Amino acid sequence: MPPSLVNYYWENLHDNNGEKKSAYDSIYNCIAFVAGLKITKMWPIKEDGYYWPDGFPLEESVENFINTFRKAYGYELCESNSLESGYEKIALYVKENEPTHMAKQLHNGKWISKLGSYEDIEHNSPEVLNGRAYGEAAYFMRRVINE
Amino acid sequence: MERPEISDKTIDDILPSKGNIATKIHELPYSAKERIYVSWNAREIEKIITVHLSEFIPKKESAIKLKFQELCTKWKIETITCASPTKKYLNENYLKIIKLGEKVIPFILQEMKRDPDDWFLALRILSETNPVNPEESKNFRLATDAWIKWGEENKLI
Repeated sequence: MPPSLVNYYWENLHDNNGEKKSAYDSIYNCIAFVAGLKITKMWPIKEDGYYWPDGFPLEESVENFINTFRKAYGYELCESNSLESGYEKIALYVKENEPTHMAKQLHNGKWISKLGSYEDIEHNSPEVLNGRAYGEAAYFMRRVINE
Repeated sequence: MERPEISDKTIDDILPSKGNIATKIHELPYSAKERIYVSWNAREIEKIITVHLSEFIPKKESAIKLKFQELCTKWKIETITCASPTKKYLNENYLKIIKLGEKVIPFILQEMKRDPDDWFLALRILSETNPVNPEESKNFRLATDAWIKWGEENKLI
């Protein structure tokens, strides 16, 4: 992605706190990436090209995102975004009370997420992506790692 | 969302090299500069420049193509951060593409083949059909492939 575009939309993301980890791929989005899907996009909507787990409401609300990732993927809300042994964590970004983005924590404590249709980016913390595009990382969830 | 400024300087910033193509950048129309700004890929930049230089001679049949490219580029820039298809579909440039009418279908399909994106709603409205079957519907790649196949079968691409 052009550096000037990154600087505009993700004003806190810099070379020293974020690193590109994949090629451009517009087939999946940030929500699907967190759910482990790279063949489709995810959003609570009945629309071609979009997946949402069966039986969960098609509502674009923060509550629905949290409930779906709790019941369909086994995550529970937690207070801290720091690395905890035995758990994997995800973050939900919210802007003007609407879900905008999701990221997941890596084993090394850093975070990874997909920026729009562009690349997967490894970033030092969830807060690196706070700002104009995504609002802020408002909710953190965790689930037990099944080795 | 407010749009970023696109200047000759930002175009210069994203050029991977300052070769022959760089000298032609400043001759390009604004819409071509926007496409370069988004693409960020040397091979794609050369292609865009070639296409646009060949279109400096006005051609009646290419006017809709140029308009589509301009609106498509603006749409991609303005919705680059959006995971929500609702926001992408409600973007003013997307609606203007639909307003161009069915003549724009081949250009949408070509763009979809080059870079799959949220074109499903526009194609359904413009073609009044939907070749995506329920088994393919929840898979972005399969849904895209279904439209490309439909376009090829109808000799639109």
